[in-house]
Amino acid sequence: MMIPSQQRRLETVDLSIAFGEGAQRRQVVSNVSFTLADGDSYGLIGESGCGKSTILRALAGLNTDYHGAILFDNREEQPVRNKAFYRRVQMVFQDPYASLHPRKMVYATLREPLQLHQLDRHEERISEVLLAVGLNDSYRYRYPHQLSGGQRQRVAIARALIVEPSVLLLDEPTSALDVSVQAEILNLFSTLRRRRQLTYLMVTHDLAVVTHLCERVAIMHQGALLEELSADALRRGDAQQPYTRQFLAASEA
Amino acid sequence: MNNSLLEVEDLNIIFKGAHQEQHAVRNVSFRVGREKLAIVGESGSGKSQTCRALLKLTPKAGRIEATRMQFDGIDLLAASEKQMRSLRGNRISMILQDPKFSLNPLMRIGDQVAEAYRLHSKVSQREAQQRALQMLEAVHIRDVEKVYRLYPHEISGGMGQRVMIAMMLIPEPDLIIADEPTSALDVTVRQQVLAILDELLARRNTGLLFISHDLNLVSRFCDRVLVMYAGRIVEEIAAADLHNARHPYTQALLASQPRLHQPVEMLSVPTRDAAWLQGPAWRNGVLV
Repeated sequence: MMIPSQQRRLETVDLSIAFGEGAQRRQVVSNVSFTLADGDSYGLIGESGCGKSTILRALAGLNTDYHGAILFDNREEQPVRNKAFYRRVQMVFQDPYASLHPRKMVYATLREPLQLHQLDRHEERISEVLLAVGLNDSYRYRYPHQLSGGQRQRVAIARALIVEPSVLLLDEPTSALDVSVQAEILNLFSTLRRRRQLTYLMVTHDLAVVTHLCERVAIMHQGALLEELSADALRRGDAQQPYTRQFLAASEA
Repeated sequence: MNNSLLEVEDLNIIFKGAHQEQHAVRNVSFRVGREKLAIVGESGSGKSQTCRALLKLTPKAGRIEATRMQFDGIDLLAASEKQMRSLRGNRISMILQDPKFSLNPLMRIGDQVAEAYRLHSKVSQREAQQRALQMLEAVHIRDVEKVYRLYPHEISGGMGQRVMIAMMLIPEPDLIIADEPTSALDVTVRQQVLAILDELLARRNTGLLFISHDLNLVSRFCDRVLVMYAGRIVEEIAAADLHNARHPYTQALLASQPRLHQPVEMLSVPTRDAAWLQGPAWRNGVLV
């Protein structure tokens, strides 16, 4: 399926990443290409060590040592990103217990990106974003240790949303949470996407979660992107590659 | 069940706080035989504390009260620290959540497994080494001679968890408490590790107390399920009947999981009812 170029939001072309030097050198990601259209929700799945998080980190600009190209809104991005990039693309990390600064109150966590990007109306924006993620103003003056896991992840999502990005990179956003809290956060992602026309790129190893949130899913194995399926095809088990079938069987058993 | 290994009656765990006491576990009663029993609940529901209390590993700030706590004829409430030491690892052992934090980073894998064996039986070093190698083979580790000499940072999470299982099974305990043994693992590796655990349990007829928050996994792997909410057991049910659960909390937990073959627009989020703190509980579909 070809996506017309004016609808392309995020694209990787022959992305390759290797770590280490000399004999220690290991190819972690090899020639991965995929395209996200505007408003898409795209999932990357695979077992640990298959390179899915590495791709996400390269996209987010956290790893500048890659080959190939990363395109955003049809323009190639430099390995070291500029500030404008981070207003459009934000990331939500796996573990809300580790991704919030323990000595910063919620409002300080949320005010920092506003200051960095020189946005106006700080107070209003903080109130708005807290409401959008299902919290309220009473959470402003709390420290992370005074919040539950689900509330922390909401704050982390609020921090990503406050600069009004168009793309969210999600690195296993619910795998550190209880099932009941996972349901809350997944619902929040669905609602936010509808309200704000967001584009999602989610990395996970949970098949049920990825088919719930994403319409298109790519399966990765040993650094290569094996195949791309629609969520419906995945449910039917319409996989071409033997590894994908094996992965599906292991997830369902 | 007649041949029950462990019997717990009216277990209460109370933590002393600065202002008020925190009642973490309230009137919990259950029995474990040579079977696979799961305890399911959200974080903070008291499932891990219940299991710690069985080994008397409750932190000092906590107080255990129970009418009865018996393991194979031994009264755990009255047992001295010395008696408890002879039970821990030897007869009741515990598999912890994350191998990264539970293995000694400065000791070779094989030596750790051999140490677990030597602590509980008087054998020579050579013999313990042989047993450790056999045990590593039993948990399907290839090339055991090489792995024996590796350090924990040199192996993957799945392999680390298998090493933990080997360590816990080598003294041949009667009961194993597994606290979320697979939640740090990938789906593909998780199946492998569970299959190995299952195989070894069946071979030795060992009882298992499996703590998890994953209802799907538990319903496939265990025989019976206890559902805990806010320190109470609100439902006890055979794993095969889980879809017929009666308690609204169990039903809500089941409904909150995304399912591959039943796509929904929005997941249902469990609403908590204050009445559940005191309210009715079900055992095998019957109100108690």
